[in-house]
Amino acid sequence: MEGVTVREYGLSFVGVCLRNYLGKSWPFFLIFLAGIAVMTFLGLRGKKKENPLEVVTVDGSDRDMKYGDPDYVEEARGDSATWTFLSVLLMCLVTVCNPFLARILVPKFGMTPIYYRFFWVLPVTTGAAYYITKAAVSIRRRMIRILGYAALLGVLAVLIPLNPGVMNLKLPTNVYKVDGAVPVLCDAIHEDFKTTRTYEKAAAKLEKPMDHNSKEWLKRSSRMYPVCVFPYSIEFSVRQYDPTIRLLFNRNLRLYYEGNRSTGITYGEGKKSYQRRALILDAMYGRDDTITVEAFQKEMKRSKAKYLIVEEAQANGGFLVQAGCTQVGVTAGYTIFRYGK
Amino acid sequence: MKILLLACAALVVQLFLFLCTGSAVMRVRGKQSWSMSSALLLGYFVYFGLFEVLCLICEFTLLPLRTLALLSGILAAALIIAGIACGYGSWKQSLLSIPQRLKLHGPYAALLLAAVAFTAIYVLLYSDASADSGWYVGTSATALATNTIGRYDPSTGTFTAAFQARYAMSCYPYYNAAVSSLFRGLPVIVQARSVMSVINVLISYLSVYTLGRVLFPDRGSAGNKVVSISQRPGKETRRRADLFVFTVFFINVFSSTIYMPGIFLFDRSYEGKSMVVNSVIICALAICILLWQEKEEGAFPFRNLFWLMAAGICFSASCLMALVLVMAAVLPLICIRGKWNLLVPLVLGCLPAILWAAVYYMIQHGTIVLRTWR
Repeated sequence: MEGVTVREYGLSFVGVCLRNYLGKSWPFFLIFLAGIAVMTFLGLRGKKKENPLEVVTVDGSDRDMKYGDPDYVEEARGDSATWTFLSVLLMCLVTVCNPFLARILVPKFGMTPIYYRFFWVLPVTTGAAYYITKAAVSIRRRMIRILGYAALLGVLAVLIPLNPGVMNLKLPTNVYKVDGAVPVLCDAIHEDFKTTRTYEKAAAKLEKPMDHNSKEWLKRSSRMYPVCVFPYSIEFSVRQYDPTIRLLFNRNLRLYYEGNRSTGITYGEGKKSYQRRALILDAMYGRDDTITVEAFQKEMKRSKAKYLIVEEAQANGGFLVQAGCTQVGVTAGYTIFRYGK
Repeated sequence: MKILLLACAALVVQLFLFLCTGSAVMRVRGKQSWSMSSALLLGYFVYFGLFEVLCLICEFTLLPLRTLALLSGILAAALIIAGIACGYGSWKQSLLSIPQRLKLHGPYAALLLAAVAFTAIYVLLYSDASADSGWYVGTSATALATNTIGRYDPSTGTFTAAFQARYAMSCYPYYNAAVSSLFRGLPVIVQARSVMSVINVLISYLSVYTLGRVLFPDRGSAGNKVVSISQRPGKETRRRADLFVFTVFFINVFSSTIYMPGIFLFDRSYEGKSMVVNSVIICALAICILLWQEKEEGAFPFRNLFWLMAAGICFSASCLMALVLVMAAVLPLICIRGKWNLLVPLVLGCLPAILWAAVYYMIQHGTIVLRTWR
């Protein structure tokens, strides 16, 4: 969970995580807890059950029944669903949601960013839905039942904001459901890459007979594909569409560069691989005036990055050309730069 | 157009495969007739459980993806043939009784269908450019493009010397790669983000409906006694389950944070995690409630639990949450009601997840090193 750590919050870590997990959907949790409380109370106060083996048949006569008989329905011992929910709730409070245990074990197992998944164990969604449905169907008159159910959902709809995904629905422009620029850019890069010396060298190295499971072959075969840097808005779509494009930044590095700390990983001054990559992005967008041409060239060589793709309006074109990049083309609003031959 | 036709074919074939797998398992269990929806749900979990075993063998013996695709194709063909042979009679019976069953659902069926249709259309239209999408769909795409299983970093395409325990043992992305390999011309991004998303939504709602049937069982109108045989048509349970499904749909639409199951159902249905939270955990909860109701005797619920856990580890490492749920729900039951005889079946039912956790721990602590090269 982004920004929530045991070190910072200590014993309140579990509470803060639960609050962030529920957000404005807390009324569902309230319904879940209230349902458990009411049903447990009713279950404990309920009168003694009748003998389940006394069953009246169609003709009105009584007959003794045994477990397994098709007409036999066992007496429920209270509401089994509520007992299950209560059992899960209490066990979680003692174990995975215990603040004292969480404070020790969560950092030890490196689970801080994914701790929220333990709340999936609590059946909040299904539990709340169960009690809402149960309350609705317990009303005998049909019209009152329908109106009551609709009114309850209406109140909840007013109180709680929509799922953030539903609010941000964007219709796709192609069958791949990626930005329309991605296929065009990938094609342009491949077309150009096949004319480069880097590609020729990589292809020549692969011609030697070699075990396809050897480390060397696996490495060499990947060098048949160009290493690129894409703008953040399309970076994560590129390899879904075309895995024969290699990327300089891995997922965590790129998220960190863009200020996303949800992975829980920090790349400080000591992380040279991150610093090198960040320098290239800073230079592409002209974010750091202190970067020299020599420093840029050194990092490009070391990282083996071949193509830099920048939004046309934001490209630091003059610097990139001065540093040895060639403008391959302008496609779909993006400029493609190639480094070296 | 060709891609759309292939996607439709892949959707139908995969649903039919799961139906056949479930039907074959039902017959092996000695059942004579069963509903197609329960066979589909069971078949989905059983197939992914079997695929996990097949894929792990291929992955750790460094076999190429195409070999995995071929083996999974042979397995699928065998299951389809067995399923047709075993299930034909039952399907016919099931299809003929549709009008009668629709009458039992009444107008509530409209709510159920609206929820399923809205979600299925939504996931078809939704496009996601998130880092997680890049990782999971990228894993499938990389496997297909390089003809390898888990040997390249999906976010960069660079070679990795050792398998990452957290991802290598959850083979769901390789299923998508294998399907794309078998359906020549079907892009893996379409299979993962459109075809499987729709299937996953159907299975998720089927899981919720199954839970609804367990939560609102067939009972006579006056309390728990069956007053007459004529009052056992299952009308109430179906209608209540329909309403329950719609309520779950409503809650998912109004799940306001990115951590709740709703966001996984609507926006991340291409991920195995979505199946863990919206299907495996739901079905595990249904099994736990059945055990509390003491309706299912013997090994039946635990056999289902076994396949659920096997499929769960195929979907995501987060399947451990399903294990926590089952333990939290069933251990108190065993202690309170003194049902110590459930302890062994419980452990056997959870065995896939327990084994997975043990191997994961050993890999993380360096006891086992799984190299990606020879």
